[in-house]
Amino acid sequence: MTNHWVDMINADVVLVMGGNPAEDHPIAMNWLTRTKERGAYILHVDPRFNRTSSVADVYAKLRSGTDIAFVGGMIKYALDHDRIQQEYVREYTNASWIVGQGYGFADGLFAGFDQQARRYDKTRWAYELDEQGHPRTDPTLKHPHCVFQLLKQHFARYDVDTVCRITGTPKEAYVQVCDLYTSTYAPDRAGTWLYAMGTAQHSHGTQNIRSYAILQLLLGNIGVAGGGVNAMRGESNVQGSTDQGLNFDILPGYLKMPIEEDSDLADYLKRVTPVAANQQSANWLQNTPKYVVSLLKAWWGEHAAAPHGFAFANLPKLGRGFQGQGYAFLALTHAMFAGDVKGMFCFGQNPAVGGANARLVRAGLDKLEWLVVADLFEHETAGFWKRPGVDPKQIETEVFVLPACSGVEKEGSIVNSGRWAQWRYRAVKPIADSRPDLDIIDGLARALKAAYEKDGVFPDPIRHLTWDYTEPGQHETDPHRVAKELNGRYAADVTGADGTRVAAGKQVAAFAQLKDDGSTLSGNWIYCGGYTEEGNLAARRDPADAPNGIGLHPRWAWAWPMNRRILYNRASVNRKGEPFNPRKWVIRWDAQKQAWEGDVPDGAMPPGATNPFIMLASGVGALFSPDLVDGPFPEHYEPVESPVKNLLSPVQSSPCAQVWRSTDFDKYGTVENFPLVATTYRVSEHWQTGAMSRNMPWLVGLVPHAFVEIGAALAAREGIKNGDRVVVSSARGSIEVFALVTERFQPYYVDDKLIDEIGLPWHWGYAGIVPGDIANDLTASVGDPNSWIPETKVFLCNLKKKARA
Amino acid sequence: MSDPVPAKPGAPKVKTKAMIQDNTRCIGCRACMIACKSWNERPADHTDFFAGPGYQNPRDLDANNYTLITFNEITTGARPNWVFGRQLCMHCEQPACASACPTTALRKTELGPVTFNSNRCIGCRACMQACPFLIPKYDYESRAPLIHKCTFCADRIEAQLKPACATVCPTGAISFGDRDDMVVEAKRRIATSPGTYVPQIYGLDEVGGTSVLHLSSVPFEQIGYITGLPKEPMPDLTHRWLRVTPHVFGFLYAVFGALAWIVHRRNKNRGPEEHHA
Amino acid sequence: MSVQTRRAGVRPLWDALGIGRLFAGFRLTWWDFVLLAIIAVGGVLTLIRYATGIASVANINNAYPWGWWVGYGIMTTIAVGGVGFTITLLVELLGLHRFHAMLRPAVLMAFLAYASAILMLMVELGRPWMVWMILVSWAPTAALYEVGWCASLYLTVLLIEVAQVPAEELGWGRALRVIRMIYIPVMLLGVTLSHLHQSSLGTLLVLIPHKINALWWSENLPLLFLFSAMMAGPALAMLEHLAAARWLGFAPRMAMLASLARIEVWVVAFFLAFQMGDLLARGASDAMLAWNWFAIAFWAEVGLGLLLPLVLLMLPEVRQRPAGLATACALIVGGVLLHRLNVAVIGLRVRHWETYVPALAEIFITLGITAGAVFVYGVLIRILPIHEELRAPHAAPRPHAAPAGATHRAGAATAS
Repeated sequence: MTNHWVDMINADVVLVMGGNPAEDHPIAMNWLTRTKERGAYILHVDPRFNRTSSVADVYAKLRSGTDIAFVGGMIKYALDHDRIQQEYVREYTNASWIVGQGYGFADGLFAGFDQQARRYDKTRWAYELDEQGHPRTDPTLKHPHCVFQLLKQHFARYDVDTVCRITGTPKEAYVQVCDLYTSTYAPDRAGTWLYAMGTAQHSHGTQNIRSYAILQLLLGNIGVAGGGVNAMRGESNVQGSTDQGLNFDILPGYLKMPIEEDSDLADYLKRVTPVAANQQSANWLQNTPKYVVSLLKAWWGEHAAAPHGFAFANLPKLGRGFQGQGYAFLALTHAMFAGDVKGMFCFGQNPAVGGANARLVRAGLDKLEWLVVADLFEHETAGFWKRPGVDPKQIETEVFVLPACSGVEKEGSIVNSGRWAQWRYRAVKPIADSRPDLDIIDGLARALKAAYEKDGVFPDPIRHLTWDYTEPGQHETDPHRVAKELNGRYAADVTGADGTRVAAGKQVAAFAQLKDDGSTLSGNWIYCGGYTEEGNLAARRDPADAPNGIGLHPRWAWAWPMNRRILYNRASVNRKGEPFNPRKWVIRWDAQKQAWEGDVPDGAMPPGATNPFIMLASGVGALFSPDLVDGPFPEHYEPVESPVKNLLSPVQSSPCAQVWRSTDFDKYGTVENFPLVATTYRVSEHWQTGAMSRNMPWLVGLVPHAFVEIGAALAAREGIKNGDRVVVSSARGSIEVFALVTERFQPYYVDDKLIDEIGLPWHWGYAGIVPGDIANDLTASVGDPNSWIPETKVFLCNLKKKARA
Repeated sequence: MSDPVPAKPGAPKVKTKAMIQDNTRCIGCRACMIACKSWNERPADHTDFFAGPGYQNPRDLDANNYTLITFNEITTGARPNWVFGRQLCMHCEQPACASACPTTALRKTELGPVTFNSNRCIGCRACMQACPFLIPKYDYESRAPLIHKCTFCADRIEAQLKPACATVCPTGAISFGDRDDMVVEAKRRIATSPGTYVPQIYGLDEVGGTSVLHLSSVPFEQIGYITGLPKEPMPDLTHRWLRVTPHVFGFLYAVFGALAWIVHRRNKNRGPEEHHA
Repeated sequence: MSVQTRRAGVRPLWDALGIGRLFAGFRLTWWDFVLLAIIAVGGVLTLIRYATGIASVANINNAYPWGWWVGYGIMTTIAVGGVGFTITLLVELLGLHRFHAMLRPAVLMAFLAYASAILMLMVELGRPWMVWMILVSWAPTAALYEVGWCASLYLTVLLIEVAQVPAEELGWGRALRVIRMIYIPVMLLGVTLSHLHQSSLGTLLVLIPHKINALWWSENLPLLFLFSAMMAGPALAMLEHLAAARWLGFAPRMAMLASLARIEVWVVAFFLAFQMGDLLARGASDAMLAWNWFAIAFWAEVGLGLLLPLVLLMLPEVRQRPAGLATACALIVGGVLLHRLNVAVIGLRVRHWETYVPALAEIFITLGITAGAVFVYGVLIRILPIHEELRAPHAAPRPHAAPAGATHRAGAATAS
């Protein structure tokens, strides 16, 4: 999130789209309840009326996969009604930047598309540069090729009628949403945008989020209290996971992974360190070398020295991946199925149930030589070899199950969607021989290190790895040691610019003090500042609010970066440091003290010419973004499996989407055989693949068996009654579940065609107290071209009542 | 009449507690049901599908579920709506169950909860018949069955904690405090958001007032609540009859005694045989 | 059972109490064996009930916490137990001596009815071993508390009244003297207590007006229950007389019965008027004409249990013939049973998925207990002078209202 959970209370309008916080983030509903009490409106856009809709003021239904049409229409609405925060857009976004003549958009494609490679040449979208190499601008926003005008042109086709024909949203509800939400353009009104997997898990998921960002920027809602583009993360510590670089393409702190072509550290740093677009851009990531070197120093200690590029050679380099498609989940599952993967460590994940195209996943598991599962329960992945329909004797995988303990049985921090790292103590000792993940990995690492001492193909990266996470003489790991290393410390005695001396071994106070000369080490630069000489700031629990009273609670735990609670908060003030909304000010410049007060400012420099979006090389919010692979503007395309033609352009689905076709499991259906749209989602009572929750008898008592939710009209046509058994099928498989018939799922009129949508909670598998068929058997291996996230939120299917035996 | 335990002289007046159940804030997550089962150590249910329009399980309160969220789909034209009701013991100010119990196993306590003392129960189930809200449930399968109902977490309340349900509710749909304060708060909510609430506090006056005050966005009868209950406490109906018991006894005994005396005298006058008295 | 019991230890006690000679010439008949069989079945089912819980034998559930066991076993059994106080009232308090031959049977039936009600209670209660808790509690607001106390006291009263007969027969002089000394106050207590607890059975259901269908709930349920007990009593007394006459082989005293039947006509008419008047005053007349199960149950109760027997009793040709009279009285008793079931069980307003039909095991347990009462009654009326009609003709009934303690000798089984 750019903002945080408590900040919701400052919103005047809350728009929840592609998310269901009442069911999937129920604790967060506390804040939404409070904000409603203060008079805010809650708008819920979702294919199905669910528990979040029940407390929303306005519910607008939306056909799965048409988010960009919906939000594109809102963008046009805002532009048409002149509901934009003028000063903000002019000063803090790239609205005034002029795009080069190479850019164009016609017939659903941007300029520079290579049909063969299914890829864009992004250089075609470059800005027009002046003599200094800085992008030209037109502050009047009238230049025909300035971003603002291009934006208007691009979304001119997204009028209300067209949008409603595509999305199936009733016009009245749609206009109500547009009207209410765009009312937050006023400087004293803020709108917050909440979203989750319903937004992200699409073949154009990244562009979905882009559309939210564009609208929020136009309305001046980024960096202000009650605003933001706020992802409700899908698991309780996934924020922490991605922060620590658990995705294949990033290092801790969202630094980019080196690639094969990076021959040395200098090469790599040149590639990944952004260059400021102009003099007003603070371009904070110009400091990347300091963070990279500090990371290398943390990992390889004295073996990371300047002459050897700080052991850069020890870092693995990314190749092209499986079939040139990278190393994300879909590529991984295909690689497994092709027999390219020898073994897998599977920690806290259950891909046999949770992975898209799950039958492919399980078939891939069959091919592994070995599998190590660390989890609380023996779930479907751990037991893949004895799943129904399979003969264990035919499977040669050696499976190890390591019992892991739960979150309340170990100490450490969990980072919520709002970037708050909250330290937790161990409440109870782990039962039986279950262990914290840290202990398990520690054991593995030590064993590996010992093995690599003897021999190995390339032993240095492991042999030289700093590994000191246990107190001397103890077996149990100490998470504090890890946390301290993430923060970082001085590797040598250092004299600061003002003459102060800091001794080696002292914790670094802020990432601004990290160096690229090897004198500092830090496991994760964005966590630098969280465990200082002051102590473990994530463990603080002072509930007092800051003087500006907007729910910052600055001494409750610690947020990265530097305890800044609202990102880009320099956009909440004008060039003089005066808040746009004095009633809910985030930061403000005290001219007397020559200092900022309020939240930690996003860059300590005084107000003035420096632009607020300091983490972007451009320094300004991107209405136009030449960085994404599938286009600088979001454009509506139908999902890869869609029941209708794209009404907006001749290009049916995202031209860059990653559509796998290499195995028998990669089949795709058409509306003739699979006339229904299907989506997947969760319920409050179960968690993910049910590996934990379907082993909890109380929860199973509430929601026992797998079911599909279908609309009453569809049920009547098919002769299906509530509680009947039905078979749901897609081009990739079929499952049998209970039918839950409801009025809350209503069909869409899409271009005068009646389209029905059905929904499947995906919590069931063959393990646990109550087994059930796996919903992901129906989903496809289709990935977003930027994030590779699978398009599990929309696909085509068919539905039949099960014939009685 | 089961009066609250009288306060000791000189002791500060104990304030009776109450709860607000506000279904405009309820998201039907059922954390309350699980917390209740946890605190009261109830076993899990064996269910197959759902028992209501939505994800309701089980269908009713029972010996293993002291509170229940009901799922109610209320569609007006093309506008769907989902409203979540909650069933639990209302802890009436003048409980019918306690007045009907022949062994005072059920009692209304000072702090508010109507408590059940399993050591006194004979299993007559008069409380089940008496309760206007159909709350007490029985575990007929057991060899030594007991009445089961929400305890208002009387033990937690005494330790200055809130009931388990109120503690875990994520949205503040469940509020807990002194009854006077809860009544004021409930009225305030209706007054400040008239379009949001049906202007009725269920439990304020019903059967003489209860300790659970429900607020709703739709009429209560649409979400399965028992409506049409009188404002008078139910025990008044039996009280009317039972309180004259001693008087009736004396009166009848006297009347019958007089009749017997008359007959006796007639017998004496009639025949010479001994009257074997 | 023959008096030639040879077992050493039993015999002296048997003789010491003088019980043995009561059984001279006693034989169990086929009817006795039928009853014993029913008792056995009921007994086994009762054991199962205790061993495995109520749910294994009964269908009562959370929507219907009171079912057949309460409706029949407690409410109806106690209602027909009202035969004791009604006949006592007629004979001892209103001086209608012509009915005094019915007094002893009535009191004995009442005693056995209350005893079997207690047994039904032990089966019905979820925790019967705790039933003594009523006696050490103070719960004056609970109708069941009052019923419990009154019924227990009344059972003691009945025991005392009933004990007169064996005391006389077996020459327990001292006991007899005590009984006779306290007879009148005890008898008065019995009649008074009966009024209280018969009405309190109705009070039990007064506090659920919204749960019982309008056809049956009334503020005046206590009175309704009292009057229906007063109606059931004479009917049962007449029925018993006719049945005993047939079984024991004496001529039924039709004149006496006809006289009681004429009184019963007034009682039934009064009850009918009271019930209807109460219903109309409550504005529930619409419910009578509704087309649903409630209305059907109502008309069965009123039609078969009140209207039909009323008409029958009013017809002399019916009233004066044993078959007719017995039919009418059986209908009245059946009507009272149905009334109690309607108020407590059938008339309950429940949600559409909630149902209750008594399980066969439930019914058989109560049949077993009733059969037990009938069996004991049948034995006692054959070994003790309960029925005057079985005495030798010279010992004619006294003209005055002889209390049940009048001297009798164990006479021949048949009138000579």
